[in-house]
Amino acid sequence: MNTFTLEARKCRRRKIWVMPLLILGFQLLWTLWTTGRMDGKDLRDGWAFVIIGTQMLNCLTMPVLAAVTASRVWDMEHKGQTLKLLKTLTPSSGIFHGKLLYGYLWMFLCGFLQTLVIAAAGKFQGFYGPVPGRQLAYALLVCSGVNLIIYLIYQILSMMYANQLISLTAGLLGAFIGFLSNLFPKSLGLLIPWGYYSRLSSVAVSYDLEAVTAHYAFIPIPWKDWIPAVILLVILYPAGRILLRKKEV
Amino acid sequence: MPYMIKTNGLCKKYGTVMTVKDLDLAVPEGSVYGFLGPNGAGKSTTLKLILGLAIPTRGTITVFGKEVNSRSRLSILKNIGSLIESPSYYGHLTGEENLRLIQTIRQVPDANVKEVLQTVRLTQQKDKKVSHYSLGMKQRLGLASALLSHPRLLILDEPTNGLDPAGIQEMRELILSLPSRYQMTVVVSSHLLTEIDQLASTVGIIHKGELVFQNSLESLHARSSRRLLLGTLDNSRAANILRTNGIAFQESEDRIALPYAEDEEVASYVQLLTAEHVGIYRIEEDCKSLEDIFLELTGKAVSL
Repeated sequence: MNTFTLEARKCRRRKIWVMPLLILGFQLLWTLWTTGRMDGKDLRDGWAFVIIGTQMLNCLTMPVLAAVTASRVWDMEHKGQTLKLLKTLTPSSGIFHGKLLYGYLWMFLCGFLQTLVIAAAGKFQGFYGPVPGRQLAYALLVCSGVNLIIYLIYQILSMMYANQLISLTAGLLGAFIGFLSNLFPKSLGLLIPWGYYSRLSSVAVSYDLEAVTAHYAFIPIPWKDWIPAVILLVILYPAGRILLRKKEV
Repeated sequence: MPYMIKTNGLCKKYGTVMTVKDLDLAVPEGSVYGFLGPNGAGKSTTLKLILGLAIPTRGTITVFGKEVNSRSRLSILKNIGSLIESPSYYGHLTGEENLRLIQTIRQVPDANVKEVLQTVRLTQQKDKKVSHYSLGMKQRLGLASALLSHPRLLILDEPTNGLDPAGIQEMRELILSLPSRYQMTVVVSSHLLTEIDQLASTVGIIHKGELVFQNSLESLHARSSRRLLLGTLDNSRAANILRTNGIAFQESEDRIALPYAEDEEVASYVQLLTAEHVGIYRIEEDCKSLEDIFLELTGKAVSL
């Protein structure tokens, strides 16, 4: 906890909250825009539609948020050459955890508020049926879990390279590939962590090409699809810690 | 003699280049140890190795009598303050906020922050963002961070780098006051001989990663042997006369160099040569400067 509060103190005046707020604002506008014109069948599919829509949007926005946040959190250490001081005061693992926890918290908060936005929009627009608490909780789990993997990727990049353009460019690339991966076959999509936001969804979309319409429906939670995500997490977390410990400053 | 730092066969290799070679450093307790060497000699690398910021390729490091390894490193570092290369700071925070962060990590009393701010004369500027500080102020803040926990050992790497003459003077006075004020041992590295001459009690000279001298400053000064240089109108005849009379000498460019002698002895040399009609037009005393000794130790081609 000490390393977390230290990180929070270090990030004073860094305006880290700006990017999550922008992402959240963007998501709110998108939700209001897409659900505002719904009627009949659309309202019946409303919950499933807005959940998968937000998850697809996350493929685009969350990698950018992760890259920007990690960059803001690490840039000050590179600029002020503070790692050589910190490494004489505290274990590398403490630095790694403090930064991971602090940066990830913003991502988690964004995901949590996003879930509240979905629930509020559904109620406000009059989606059929009660608020699907279980589905929303799972959507939050997907967002938070994938956020952790994605944030770890950008934390490692921002930590290793003083030039934050590398991390930011990787963020944009990740967003692009992640969004595009929605069009890939499932087996290929599972190789692209940036696309997990929608790939691990409990909503299935089927297209009626003749009627040019899409149907949204809840499906059983695809727990097996989590395997590559868990493997990635198990690799990235210790790798990041070791890299920081071995980093000579 | 108790030593604060001892290294044994310390080596560090970057790629194919051996930056530090078999270094046997010995820093006596209570001393101001001047670590001198030209740019790129391996000073910063050595200090980073001691602090565990770089991993040695070979050799051992002992600080406070304990061997530094991954397990003991942080407990040893609790008693070390350091300022390596340039100062470390968070530019978007004020000077005091920077120190408060280190205070929290070091778990030292509140009063220490106030005290070190006074010591480095930054009390007036403590509420200013560090990005608005001058380089001298940043250096002093770096020193304040290093002093915050009243360490037993202070390691300063080129602390006067980039400072103007007034800043250098101020920093020098500050460093000199530390051993008596806080009873600490100070290791200060520099590529400036004059700086080390004014600060250190013990000197280590490193060149191309190797320690070429390590002893007290007095013993370094003792190497600056005095001699007499004689300018005559016929050096070869003068040399013959001196040789015949069993007087030791060396021919040095257009002069004859004699060992330093008292006035009466010098008068007898003059008398001897003038009696043989060798015209003497100059007698001068020559003393090797510290620069000469340094260049002798490190090789003349080195730029200081």
